[in-house]
Amino acid sequence: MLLETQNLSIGYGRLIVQQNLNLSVSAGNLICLIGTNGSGKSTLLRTLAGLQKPLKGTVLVQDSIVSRLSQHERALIFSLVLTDFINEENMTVFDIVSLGRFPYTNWLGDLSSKDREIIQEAIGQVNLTRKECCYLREISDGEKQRAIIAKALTQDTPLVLLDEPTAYLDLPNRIEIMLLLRRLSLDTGKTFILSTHELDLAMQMSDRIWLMHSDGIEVGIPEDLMLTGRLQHIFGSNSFMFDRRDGHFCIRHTRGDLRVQVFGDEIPVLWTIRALNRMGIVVEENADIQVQANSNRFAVRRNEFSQWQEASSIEALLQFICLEL
Amino acid sequence: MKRNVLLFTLLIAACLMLFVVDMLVGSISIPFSALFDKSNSTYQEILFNFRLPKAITAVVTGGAVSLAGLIMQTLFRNPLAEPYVLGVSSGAGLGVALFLMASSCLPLALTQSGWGLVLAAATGATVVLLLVLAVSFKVRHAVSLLIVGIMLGHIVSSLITILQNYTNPDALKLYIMWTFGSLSAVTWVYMKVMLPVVAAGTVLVLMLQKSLNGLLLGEQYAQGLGISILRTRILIIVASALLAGATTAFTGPIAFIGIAIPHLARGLFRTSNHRITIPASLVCGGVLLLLCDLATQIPPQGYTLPVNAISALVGAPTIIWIIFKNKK
Repeated sequence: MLLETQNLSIGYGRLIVQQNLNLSVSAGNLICLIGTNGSGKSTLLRTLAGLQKPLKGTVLVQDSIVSRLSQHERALIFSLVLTDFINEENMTVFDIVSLGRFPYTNWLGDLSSKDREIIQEAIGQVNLTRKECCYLREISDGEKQRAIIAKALTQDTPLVLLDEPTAYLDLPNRIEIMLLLRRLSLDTGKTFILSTHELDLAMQMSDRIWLMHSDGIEVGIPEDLMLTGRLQHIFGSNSFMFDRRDGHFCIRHTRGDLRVQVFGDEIPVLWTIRALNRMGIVVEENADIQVQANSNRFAVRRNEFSQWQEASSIEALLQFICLEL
Repeated sequence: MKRNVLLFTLLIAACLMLFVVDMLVGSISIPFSALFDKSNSTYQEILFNFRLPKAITAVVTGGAVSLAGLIMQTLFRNPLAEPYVLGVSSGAGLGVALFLMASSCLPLALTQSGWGLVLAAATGATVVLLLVLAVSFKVRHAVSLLIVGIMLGHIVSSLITILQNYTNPDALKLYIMWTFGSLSAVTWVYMKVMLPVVAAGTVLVLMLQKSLNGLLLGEQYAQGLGISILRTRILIIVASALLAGATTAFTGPIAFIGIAIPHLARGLFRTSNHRITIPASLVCGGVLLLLCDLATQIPPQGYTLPVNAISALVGAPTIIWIIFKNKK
C-alpha cells in the first residue's frame, strides 16, 4: 500500500469534519474525490499531505507516519496542486516548473543538467514546450494550471494531490486537464488524488472514486457507486437525478400538467425529450399528446383521434405545444 | 543571460560614477583631481571625513532598505509591502524617540558609540514586525494585513507625539532632524556599527534566497516544496529588522525606496527569481539613493533638502505607475 489512513479524523480544532476514515491507495491510480461543498475534500487532501495535523488517527505513507516526517521528507512523497492564486507576473513557465526541483537542489538552488532534463520532460508532458519562456501573464488559465501540474511532476513524488485542478477553467480545458491526468497516471505510475466537482468527468476518468458526504466516505469504482445508487442517494434530489444508463445527471423540473409521449428515431427522440424536459413538460408513455420525432419530420397531435400537425424543427414543435395545447 | 550581465555592468558603472560625483558635488565643489591630490588638507578633510561616509551611507542605505522591501514583498505576497508601510520604520522611530528623549538617563558609553541608537531602532522595528507577523498568522488577506500595519504605524506615531510633549526642546530637535532623514549623519564611528549589521542582514537574505523563491507561489506551495514556513518567516523578519533597523536608526526613515526599488528591479530584469532580484535591488537602491542625495544639493548657496522629501518624490510616482500597470 502506498498510502493508508487508520481511524483518521480530520477537521479544525473542535470542528470534526470527517471521522474514522480508513482509506488505502495503491500506486498508479487516479482517484477522484467528489462530494458536496463543505464535506471536507480540501481538508482531507491537506491532512494527507501533512499540511495540517489529523485530529485523531494516522496517515501512513510507505509505512511511515506522515505527521512525524519532516517538511523536506514530505516534499519527497507528496507534490501539490492547490487552488491558491499565483500572481507572480515576472515568472516564466520554466521558472514555475523548475520550483518542483526545490527539494533536490543545493542551498543555492542550482539546477543540474539532470534537473533541466526533468523539467523539460515535464513541460513536454503537459504540452507547454512552446510556451516554456512565456511569462505567466501571457498564458491562459488552463496553461497556468498545466504549468503547476508540470511543477508537481518535476517534484517526482509517488503521490500527487490536486485540489480542484479544473476549477475556473472552461469545458475544453477541464476535459483536457482530466485527460492529461489520466494519461500521466498510466505513463508515470504516479498516483493522483484530486478533488473535483466534475461528476461526469470523474465518472469517466477515475480508477476509484472517494465519495464524501456528511457522515463518511464511500469508496469504489465509479460503476459500482452508480449501480448501487449511492451517487443518487448523496447527490440527487427531487430536482435532478442521475441517468442510470449513462451516468449523466439530468435536471427535473415540472411545470404545469402537460404530459407527452414521444416516439420515432433514436437521436431525434433523445433531443426532443431534452427540449421537452427543459420546458417542464413531463414525458411518459401512454400520454394523450403524441409527438413523432424522425430525422426528417416532427409532428404532434392532441390525441389518437386528432390530426397530425407538422413542425419543421424542435423549436416549432415546442411553440405549437405551448401555444395550442 | 547576456542582457542581465549587461544590465548589471551598467548599473554598477552608474553606481561608481554617481559615487564619485556625489563626493565631488556639494556646498563646496571639489575638483576631480583633489581625489588623488593629498596636498590640500581642507579638501582631504571634506572628502574623507564628510563626503566619503555620506556616499557610502547612501549606497548602503539604499541597498539595505530596498532589500528589506524586496523580502517583505515576497513574504507578504503583496506589492505594497515595505518596511515603511508596515509600520516598521515607525517602530524604529519610536525606538529612536524613546532613546533620544530618554538619553539623559542612559550611560554615556551607550549613547556615544552608536550601538544604543541602532539597538533602539532595531528593537522598535522588530517589535512592530513581530506584531505584524503575529497578525499575519490570524489574518490571511494581504490587504487587511496592510491595514493592520498602517494602523500600527499610526498608533506608534501617536505614542511618539505624546513622548514629544514631555521632552526637552534639544532632544525634540534631534528627533525631528532624524525624521527628515539625513545621509550625512553617519560618521566613521557610526559606520563601524551600521556596516556590520547591514552586512549580517544581507548575508542572511542571501542564505534565504532559495526559500524566498519557493515563497513566490504562496506559503502552502512553499510547504509542499519542503520549506519550513515558521522558520523562514522568522528569518525573513529578523533580516528585514536588521536591514531596515540599522539604516533607519542613523539616516532616519527613507521613504518609498523600499517599496519602489524591488518593482524596478523585477521590471528591469524581467524576473522574480531572487538570485537576480537580490543583487539587483541592492545596486538599484544604491544608485537611486545616490541620485536622491545629489538632488538634495540642487538648491544653491549651501542649503540642502531633506533626503526623505526627494525619495518620496521619486518613489510615489513609481507606486502610481505600478497601480496603472496592474490595471491593464
